[in-house]
Amino acid sequence: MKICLAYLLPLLLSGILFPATGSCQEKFTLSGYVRDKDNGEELIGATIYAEEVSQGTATNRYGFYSLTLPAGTYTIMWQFLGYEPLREKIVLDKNIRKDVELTLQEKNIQEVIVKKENTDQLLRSTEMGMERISAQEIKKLPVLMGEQDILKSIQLLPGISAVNEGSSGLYVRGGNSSQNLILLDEAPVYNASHLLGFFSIFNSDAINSVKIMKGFVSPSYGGRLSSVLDVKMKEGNNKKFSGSGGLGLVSSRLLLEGPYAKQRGSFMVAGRRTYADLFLKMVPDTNINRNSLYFYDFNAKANYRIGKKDRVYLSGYFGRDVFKFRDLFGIDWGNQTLTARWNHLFSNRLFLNSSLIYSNYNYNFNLKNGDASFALHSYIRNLNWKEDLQFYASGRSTFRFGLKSNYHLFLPGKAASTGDFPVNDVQMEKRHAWENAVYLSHEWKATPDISVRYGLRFATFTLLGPLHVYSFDTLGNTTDTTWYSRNQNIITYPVLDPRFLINIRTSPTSSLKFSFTGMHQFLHLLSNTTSGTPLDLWVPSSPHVKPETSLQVSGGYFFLLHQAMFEASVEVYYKKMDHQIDYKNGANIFLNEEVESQLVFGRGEAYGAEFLFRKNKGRLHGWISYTLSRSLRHFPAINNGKTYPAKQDRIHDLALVGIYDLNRRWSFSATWVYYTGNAVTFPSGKYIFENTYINYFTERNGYRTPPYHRLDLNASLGPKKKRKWQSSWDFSIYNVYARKNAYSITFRTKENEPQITEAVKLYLFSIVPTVTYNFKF
Amino acid sequence: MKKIFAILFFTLLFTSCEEVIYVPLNSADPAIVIEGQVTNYPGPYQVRITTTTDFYDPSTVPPVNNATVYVEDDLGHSWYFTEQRPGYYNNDQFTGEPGRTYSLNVKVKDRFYHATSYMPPPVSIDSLDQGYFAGTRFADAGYYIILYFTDPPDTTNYYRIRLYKGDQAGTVIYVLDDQLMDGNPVNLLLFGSAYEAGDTAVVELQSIDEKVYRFLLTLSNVNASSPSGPEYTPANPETNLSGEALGYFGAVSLSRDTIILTHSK
Repeated sequence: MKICLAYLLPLLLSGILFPATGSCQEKFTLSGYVRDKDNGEELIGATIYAEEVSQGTATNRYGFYSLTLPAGTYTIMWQFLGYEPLREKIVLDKNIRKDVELTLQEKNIQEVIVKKENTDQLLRSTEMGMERISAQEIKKLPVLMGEQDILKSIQLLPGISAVNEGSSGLYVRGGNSSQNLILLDEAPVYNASHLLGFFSIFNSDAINSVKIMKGFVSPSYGGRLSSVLDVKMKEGNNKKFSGSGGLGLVSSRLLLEGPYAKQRGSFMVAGRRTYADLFLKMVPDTNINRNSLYFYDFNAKANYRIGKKDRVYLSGYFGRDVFKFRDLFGIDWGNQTLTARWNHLFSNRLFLNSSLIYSNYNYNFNLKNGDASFALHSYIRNLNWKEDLQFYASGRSTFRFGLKSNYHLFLPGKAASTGDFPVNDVQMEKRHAWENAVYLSHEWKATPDISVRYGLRFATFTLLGPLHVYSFDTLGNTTDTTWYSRNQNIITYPVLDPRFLINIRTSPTSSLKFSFTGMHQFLHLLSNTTSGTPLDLWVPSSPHVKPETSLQVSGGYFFLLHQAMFEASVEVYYKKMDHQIDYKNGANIFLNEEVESQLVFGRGEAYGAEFLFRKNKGRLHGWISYTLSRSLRHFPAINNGKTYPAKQDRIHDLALVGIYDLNRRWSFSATWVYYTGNAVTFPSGKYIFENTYINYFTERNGYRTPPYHRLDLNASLGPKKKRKWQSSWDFSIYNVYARKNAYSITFRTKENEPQITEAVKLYLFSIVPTVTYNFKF
Repeated sequence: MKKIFAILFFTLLFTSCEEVIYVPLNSADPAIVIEGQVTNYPGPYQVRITTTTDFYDPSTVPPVNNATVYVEDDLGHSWYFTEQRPGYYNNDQFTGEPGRTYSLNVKVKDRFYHATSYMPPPVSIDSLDQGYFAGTRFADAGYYIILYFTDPPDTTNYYRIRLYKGDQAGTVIYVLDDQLMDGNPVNLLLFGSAYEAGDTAVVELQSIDEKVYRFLLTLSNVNASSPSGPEYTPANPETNLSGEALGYFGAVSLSRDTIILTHSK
């Protein structure tokens, strides 16, 4: 690590000391926003490229770009995936502010001649291990139960796999699902699933863009080991008032958006609710019709432009799942986020974003039995202040720097009972923590063929009183208790994350990239479940629980074929993880003040090769994604200290995605996925205890469930042209050949024949057809 | 608890299904399994010694013969157990006393196995009651037992409850500790074991020590007759026996009560 820092610092310093002063020639800046022509939405990651000098930049997450070049005349190209590129001659003899609007591409009915510039973003960009999926593509893919879901769509890309059948939970490059930083308009989301993972909390109507970073992670992000999933809500149409929505078999949604204050601002509100429970009510069986099970969510956002240099945003998300089983028990849970932001242009080269963010996840659990009742309540909240600055030093050099201060508050559990419920009231101690970070990164085009991006993130995590801190012996027995008073520093972990990426253009149609990324994680999810249940327990780092760490190195080769008709990439990675957490056998984490005594610690490693082959153009387009990977764990206290496969160890993971645009209205798509069965622990024998058989286990995760595979089909009928009310239909079939993929395999004694033991497979879905009606006005 | 939610969700919303399948499983080397109990009720007490067998093997588990088995208390008394039938070793010469610590010693072909267990004072059953439950996919319709007892305050208590239908022992393992209910009157609906009117139900409230509790708790997680989902990683229960044996030795004190179930709704 010392070596890389020694390399980094001079690079960094040289960039700071000599920004854009390489030549005496006068320089000017072209800057502005790139937006969608129809609805005024900012396009994030759109590229701006000066052809004469082969220099370019990309819009930031607010749609802003800035390109500083020597005075001269340039052919500038603005482009964005799925949009018609815009090319214009610009005489750069003064600073120019130019906001441009791009038009959505019509369907490619005829084969278009692909210009080189149109797709070689892949080769130029200083991103790696980054996946973005376009909204147009997502809309054409088959879906389960009529809900488009970005989290399920990105599972079709290499290195990203589903936690389980139908699940929106993600395993990224061998990490577990709690090691992904999920941001919705910059606010952290602690539980991104509805209905135990069958839906994600992201209403696809309300989402502008999704980006997942699984390899190189920009130093402006930190706090999770595996990946960053950055989701941005729509700003709202600032051209005209409009709406869209859909009616599905299990849920419906509606979105309204429009401009206000003479187009100085725009707003968006979107809502969604499932109604499976309404069908339950129609069932005459009183055992069923008194149950309820639904979720809803609500997104709202507004922005307002104050002059040309300032813009303010306010956005929020509110979602809730509710589940009631007769009058006996109920549980409800959900996330709330609120983000206030201010974008300010100090100059056409210095961009500031200030954010104030509040995020809350909580759940309530109630049991009732006559007069006796029991209620459990828990939350995790945080308040977050962020300053992010971007300095566009020159056409070849961009600096990003900023700071973040994040206050966490956890209530692990509070239980109260009434009547003769035999449980004492318990109020667990709240956990207080303060996380701070500063970062600096530099993106530098060293030569026309070599670009680098490097930086550092320095973060501290402090656990604060009031709190009783327990010490444990090796067996987990409490040996000592220390009391810390309010705001007293219990422990501070300072950490340094280096990030580095180099992109070498090896030919006009290929490039080679190499990166390494260090990450730390301070909040740990205690859950040995796979499905993201509402009763998740997050614990902060403490004297006993060290921050999780990872260091990933990766390399990749990216190339275009047949005049950019096809693009392909191969990436390999190796990731080392430390201070990983698991439970002891039979751990008690329920309302346990000394929960840390129930944990064991170890290390892990993950490595793999990812192949992606994409056809972006033509009537038939789509991709093939294949991942060959391993994810292993080593815990002294598990599996007799022998290395074992993590549950997310998927050796082969293949996805085929094909979309065929028949004509302007009809398009068809098919996806086929195949992956190695989960690593699971099966018995290697049995023995008798009293009068029942008990399974005998010899190794952790030593077996595999059968391979998973599934074919889905979709047909979309688009709207007729030039109508005010545009309706479209989606017909999907999930699991076309009705494979009974194992959700779980259990072992039990046969009913009425206690002498016989048998294996039983539980499968959730057979063939599931759905139809969804969508509208837009 | 999480598992129950998952199953409820799936069955309410989706058409989940079960299917018996064949999964190829390794065969492990046989391991020794020891199960023994001393109680505050007069014996004979029994120690059973068997070995593990292949999962799909339909024959009874192999007994272990010719073992040397004896129990000692903390006053230096010892009692030898004799093999009554293959794998079963008995002794009727003593009665366990609450407050004493007992240890089990087993020798099988030059290998020694040892466990120690403390017999806590018994906790008496206040009363038994019955409740009717209409039944769901997850639980049979029928009468369920409600157990009332009072947890002694200011001590850590661990319990196991055993249910019998007549003299037939049930297979569900109920264990609990008093972490959240120290000193409280306790009422427990013993879910999972349905009775019919006219049945005689015997309820045994066993006071156990922490290690026996840990054994039974971790055992109930992998009980072959209880449904285990993908929700946790199964592992062998924590035993109090040395020498890499499976099973346990427990000194338990128990109190018993009986209820005859009647028609009521």
